[in-house]
Amino acid sequence: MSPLVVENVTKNFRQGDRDVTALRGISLTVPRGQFLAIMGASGSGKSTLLHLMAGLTTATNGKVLVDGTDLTTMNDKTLTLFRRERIGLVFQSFNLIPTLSAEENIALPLMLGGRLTNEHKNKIDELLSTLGLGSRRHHRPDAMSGGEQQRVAIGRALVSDPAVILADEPTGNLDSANSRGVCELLRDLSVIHNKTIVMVTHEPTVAAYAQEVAVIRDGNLVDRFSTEGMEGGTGLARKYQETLK
Amino acid sequence: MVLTKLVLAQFSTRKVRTALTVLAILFSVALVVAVTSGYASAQTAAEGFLAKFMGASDAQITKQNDPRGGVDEQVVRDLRTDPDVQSVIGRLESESQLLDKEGTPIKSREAIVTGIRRPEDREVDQLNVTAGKWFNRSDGTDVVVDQAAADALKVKVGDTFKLPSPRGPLDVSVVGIIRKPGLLAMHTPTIYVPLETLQKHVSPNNPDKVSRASIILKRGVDAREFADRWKTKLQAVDPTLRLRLTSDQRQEMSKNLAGMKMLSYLGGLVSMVAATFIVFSTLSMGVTERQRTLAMMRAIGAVRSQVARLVVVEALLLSFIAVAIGVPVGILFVKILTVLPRFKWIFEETGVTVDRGGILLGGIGSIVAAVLASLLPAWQATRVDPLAAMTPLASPKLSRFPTRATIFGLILIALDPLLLYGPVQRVLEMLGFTDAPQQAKVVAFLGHFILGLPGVMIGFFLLAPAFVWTIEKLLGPLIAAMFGLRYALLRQQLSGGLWRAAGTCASLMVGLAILIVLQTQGKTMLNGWKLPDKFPDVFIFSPSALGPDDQTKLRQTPGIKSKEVMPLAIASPQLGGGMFALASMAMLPDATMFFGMDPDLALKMMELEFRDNSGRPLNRDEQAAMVEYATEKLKLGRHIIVTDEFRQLKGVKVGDKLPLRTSRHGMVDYTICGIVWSPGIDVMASRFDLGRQLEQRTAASVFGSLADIKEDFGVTDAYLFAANLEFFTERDQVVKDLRTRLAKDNIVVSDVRQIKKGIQDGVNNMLLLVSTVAFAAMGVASLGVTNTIMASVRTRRWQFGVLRAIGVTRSQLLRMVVAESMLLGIVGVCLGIAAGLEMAISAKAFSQLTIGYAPPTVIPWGIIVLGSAIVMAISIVASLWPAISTARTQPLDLLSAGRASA
Repeated sequence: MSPLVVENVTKNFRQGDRDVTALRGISLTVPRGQFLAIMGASGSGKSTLLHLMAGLTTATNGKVLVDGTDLTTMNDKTLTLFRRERIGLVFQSFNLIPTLSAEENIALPLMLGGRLTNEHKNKIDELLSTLGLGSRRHHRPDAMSGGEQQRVAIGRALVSDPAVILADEPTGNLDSANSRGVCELLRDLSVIHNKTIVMVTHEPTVAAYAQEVAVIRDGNLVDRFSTEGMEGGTGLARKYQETLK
Repeated sequence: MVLTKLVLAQFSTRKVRTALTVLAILFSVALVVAVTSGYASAQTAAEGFLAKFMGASDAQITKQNDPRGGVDEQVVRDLRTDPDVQSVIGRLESESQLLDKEGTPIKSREAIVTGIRRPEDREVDQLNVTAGKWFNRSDGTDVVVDQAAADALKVKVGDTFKLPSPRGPLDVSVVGIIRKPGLLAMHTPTIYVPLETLQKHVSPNNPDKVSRASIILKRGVDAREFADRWKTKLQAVDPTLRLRLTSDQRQEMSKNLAGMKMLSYLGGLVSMVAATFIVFSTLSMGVTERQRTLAMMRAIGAVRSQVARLVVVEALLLSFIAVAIGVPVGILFVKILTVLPRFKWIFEETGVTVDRGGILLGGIGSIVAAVLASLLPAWQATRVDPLAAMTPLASPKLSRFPTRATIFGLILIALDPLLLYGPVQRVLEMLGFTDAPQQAKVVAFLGHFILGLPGVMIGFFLLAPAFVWTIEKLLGPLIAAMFGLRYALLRQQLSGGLWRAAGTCASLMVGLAILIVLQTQGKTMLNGWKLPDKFPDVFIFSPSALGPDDQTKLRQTPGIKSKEVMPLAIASPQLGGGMFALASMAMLPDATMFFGMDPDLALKMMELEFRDNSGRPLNRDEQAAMVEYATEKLKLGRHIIVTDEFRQLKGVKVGDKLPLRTSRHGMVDYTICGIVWSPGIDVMASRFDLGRQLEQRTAASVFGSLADIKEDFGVTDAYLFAANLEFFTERDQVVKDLRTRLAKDNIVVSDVRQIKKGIQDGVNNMLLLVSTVAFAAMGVASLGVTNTIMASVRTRRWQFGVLRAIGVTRSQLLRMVVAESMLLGIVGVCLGIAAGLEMAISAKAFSQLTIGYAPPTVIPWGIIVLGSAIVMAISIVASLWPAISTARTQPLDLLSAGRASA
């Protein structure tokens, strides 16, 4: 069973005094362990699709299945608890709590669920080590670089061992060196740790780290292709431009 | 755990805001504790002394309507033979002017002179003798004085001084000095004199009298049964003698003290209401500022209830910290008072009594208030969209008119007037209540406190956003122009954080509203008491009764118009049969003041304003006819004139019969022959008759004839006279002449206008004292304004940075912040005036409901202007620090600080 299935999803909303159709019947399946990048121009609907996958907004029509559970039928509380346990979110602007340490920020979803067990603590230690943050565990966000902060945010997304990790422009606020670090980390999580990752980005160099790329234009999924054999960002950029033509 | 951690993290990030909020709650808690403990300390001191003074006695006998004398000592002797009685003490009490060593009266120092029979009277042994010892005789010239008298007379043990008496000054020697609690000693210096000595000097022609007989019953005797038995006996001996059980007196006193205690609690609560709105404002700011964090928490799995709890826990922690500090601060404040010379005397005997009720009220009240204040912000927090975490910068919401809050607010503020003025009775009738009129009063009374007043406060708070929205739109351009700014820079600065601004404005509202309602009530009551154009020039008061000979001498005193001297005899009968009692509430006073006067003289000396049965003034001809009619009826006997307050209070009209319980003939019907606008004579007289006021709660007064008061109430002696003076007469000379002619050194002559001014000054001072509650609430509110402006500035640092970068000057930035604060102040003033006036209107109906009388409302516009100016000043001053510090920050720092917090 694929951890993430999107079936014929439509999303309409009102913006000011006009009706907008952000997604027009998109269907998408992400197999376990795949790292999928979603690309599209500004306003194409890529972020809306990610929000729907995360259960942060509801579809006008269609279904979103995470680990076989349809998010569109859940009430707010069930959906929130499901998100806490089965979906990991990585934000563009990190969204760490400035007064908590790296370790505490990572532990936050577990803390929301109750007291931390020894098992939880071991898991956090392991994550800190995997993310290369062992020496920064007691540091607060303001004492860390952007890349480190985003790695903490990724740790927070991973801590509850979710079915899928959804990242919205995770490198948008980072310089190129830190961007590369984060992208490599996401790729390793997918390849080495078999994590299912969906990432929204508009940068071909970032999308090149993914195994597949889905291209969205005007609310439609116009193409989905593998990044294998492409010459990094340049080849992907060329392919992307061709798709949009 | 995680929530507490997050809250503590929020506190450490917003240190100044947390400190200001804690300070606001702390101040209100400390105020509640200080006021209630201060009051409890004063009450303990008074009760402690009273317990010493009259605690051992079970009952007292005095002459009704004449507290100064008249119980025959034979009664004391008879009581001693009663097998139920353990002991009886007779004491004679008199008031006296104090004279210095040269025999000159010491101004404004009157003392109580108490005649005691020693060594039988052992009650005084409980008093603390600081020098010398008690005398052990019932005659002779040895006296014991308390510290206040010793200070006034400047005497010590072994010294002599002169005591004024009808026979001329009496030389007495001080053999002992006692120390009374300062609270009582300051009020009435006391001199203890051997009983027989005082009897001879106060009443030489009839010396075998005492003022009161204090009875101690044997153990196990039923006091009530004893009282019933002796009341019958006393009726046969002298119908004007009255036996009262100490337990009844204490109960009456407790009733009066309970009212004052309730006031002390309410006073503290006012500040708590202001603090509640500040807590609301702080929490609202926190929610607004943490939109992104809350959204992220919701996105990663925090359920709505967790987010709500985050806000409630914040409120709880704030209040716990404030209570933990506020309670000791309040107690410390009272302790500081104990060492200040001005207040020391209250606490010197019994120290500080910490009022547990006050601590509970301050502590639990603050915690409950904080939780209540957190409910709306908590709800707002649960509405945060998790999607907000996904957007790089939160987009500000457009401010819309807060329709729902306004509708709820209007409904809530309508509750109180609806309960007090609405058709409650008709609704109850429709619901089938048999005693609808009575039930309607109960519903209105309870509803006013349970629903009405909280409804006004919460209602105006809910209306605050509408006020902010409207005033910003209406006055924003004007204020912008005043400060030399473009309106575009001010637009939506308040309405952008509507609830934050609303909370602050509501906290500003509380103090002003309370000030307005207190002052309106006070001024209304004062205004209801106007002296007629024609009124006696002076009141003459003699501590001992003036017989016919002395009254003749009084009339013949140079300067006094001999034909215009009017004796005033006073009785305080109970109203008959509970016919006017308000069932289940017992709010109405149960006694009235009966003034006996000569009808011809009274209506000649006082130009009374007669009214018709609906309270409307009569025209000139009707007035004249009414004067004639009333004079004639009063002379006939068993007729009375009542005041318009009394008409409203009892719902009576001319021709109605009013049953009064007389001391000599039981229940007697008096017919009302006139209604007059309050002539003020009763208020004047009460200045000389305070003892009665403490003992009995009296309703508005009635006026009858001297013959009636003598026949029905057995009042034969007159102590008080109203008189007119000849033109160009000097009052001091009249006093001198009177004292010489009547051989009474303690006669007092008071100018009517001076008395009125004194009373008005007293009421005004009291109003000012009570109004400190409102000023304290304003002080608390100032913390809220600073908080709001700081938060407002903080959230716009990036915007300010951009403005500074593109050329806005420091001065313009400063003016922007101050202008915004001015708008807050204006909203606070508008809310305060509106809430204050509504409460004043409700207070009028409440006054009608509880005491049955409501004079025309007088709105103290001067005070309203002053209060509004204070609120405006608070708003502007509170904004200066955030305004100046923002203006002084470099544009780059503003930009980077703003970006960091985005």
